[in-house]
Amino acid sequence: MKTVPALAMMLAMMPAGHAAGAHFGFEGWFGTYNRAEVRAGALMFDDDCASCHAIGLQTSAGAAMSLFEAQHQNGPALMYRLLRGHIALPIAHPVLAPVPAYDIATYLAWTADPTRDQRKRFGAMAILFLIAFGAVGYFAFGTRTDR
Amino acid sequence: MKRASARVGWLEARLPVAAWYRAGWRDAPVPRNLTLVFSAGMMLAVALAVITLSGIWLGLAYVPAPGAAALSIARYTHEVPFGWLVFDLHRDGVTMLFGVVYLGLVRGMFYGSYRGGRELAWVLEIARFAVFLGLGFFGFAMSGGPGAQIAMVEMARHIAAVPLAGPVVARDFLGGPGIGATSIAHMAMTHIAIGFLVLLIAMLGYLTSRLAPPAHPDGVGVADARDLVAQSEYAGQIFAAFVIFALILAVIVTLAPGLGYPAASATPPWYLMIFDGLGRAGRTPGGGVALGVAALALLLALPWLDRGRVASRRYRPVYATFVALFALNAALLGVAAASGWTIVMVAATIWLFLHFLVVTPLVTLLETPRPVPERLR
Repeated sequence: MKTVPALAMMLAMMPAGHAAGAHFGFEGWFGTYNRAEVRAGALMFDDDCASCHAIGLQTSAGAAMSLFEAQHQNGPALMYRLLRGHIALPIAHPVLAPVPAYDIATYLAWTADPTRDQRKRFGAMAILFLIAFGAVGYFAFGTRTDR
Repeated sequence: MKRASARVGWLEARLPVAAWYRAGWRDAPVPRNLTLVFSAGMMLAVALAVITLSGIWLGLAYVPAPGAAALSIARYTHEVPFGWLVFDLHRDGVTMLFGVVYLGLVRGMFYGSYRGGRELAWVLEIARFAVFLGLGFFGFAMSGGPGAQIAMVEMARHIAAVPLAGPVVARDFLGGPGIGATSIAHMAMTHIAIGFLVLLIAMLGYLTSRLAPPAHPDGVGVADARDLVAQSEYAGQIFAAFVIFALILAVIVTLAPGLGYPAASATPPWYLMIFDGLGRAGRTPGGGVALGVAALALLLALPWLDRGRVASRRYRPVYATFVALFALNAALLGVAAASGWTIVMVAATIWLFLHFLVVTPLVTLLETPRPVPERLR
């Protein structure tokens, strides 16, 4: 349990960035989660990680992983580098191959922000509506005849 | 007269809302030269409505207890349909509010909107700003994460450093000598109570501003009645301001939710960074409080520190340059506080106080203003 604050502190001090080069499509403006990757990551997490790391929102237990990527800058890239062993951890931890590391990082991005795709879909609709609304208003106010 | 009263409806005869709307809003005389930034006040009302409504809905899901606060909001955003939208309308709505508030303050300083009978309106604007800052802090503290708890303890130390009442208030602030079972409830209740109080302050400020001589890009007051138009002439401009406001908010919620809120750290949100910088430049908790309060007091005292004969930047370009410098310097102070550049932070703090105490009285007194035309430009 004592390692968790130490780990959190170490992670907070690390420079952010995509140094390892892992690129996550869902982070882009129009990108969405790849369902197959999320599912593969979930299966692997249940098989190989769940014995030590709990999934869920409860953070007082200290080890719940669901929100990890939301609580760190560039969370998915950071998780990928952690799983790949690019970052030295204070405790011994298995190093994963690129594809499992990528899928688990994707799955944990989904647990951290499961509504990301819905947000982009509805946000795009709202933005398009506002642009159309603004255009109609511009025309309407530009051709006002009551003054 | 009788015919006119016969035409109004039953409710209108008893509560003349439509007449108030016409006299106080649609046909209200306003200067004819207002620019888009003068719609900032109305956008502030929009932001307040968004924040108040989303805040009420968030409050229905929020559990004010240590360990449970952050979890209850995480549950709400993850598991309740469109909970994320309500949450982001609240935190990103606050970003929009402070954007509009800072814009309004810089505009007021630029055009001298605090002078010529508008002093009380300015005092209320600064009071409202100070309450917004407090609200921002309590909102950040009640989120209950590790960073918020550090900030609460830090704030309690600052409060305890205030002479006489400080230690007692600090205990009441946390609900005990340290973070305890009711600390988060203290943050939440204060946030909610002040949140509704600020609506009252904002309304009072609006009334005071409306009753004072109008502010506009050319200064304060309108000498010639031909320079006044009905506010309905600005419908298009207000609509444009609203669409721009809504678009920026929609883009933030969609593509950069939580913009300006550092993820899981003790760094407060962007809109508190100037005062975080002042607090840390004060070196000790007592010094930090003193600097923060002094900065607000000096901003409030601007109508009396300004010794010039004209208000608007248009007719005193030298002072206008210093106001622009002041705004840039304040932004730099916030950036330096967020980045931990101690020397820049201290230098920016010194310049901030020099601006109020030396630059403003001297430059406004010594600068020879350009001639102000009789009619509005």
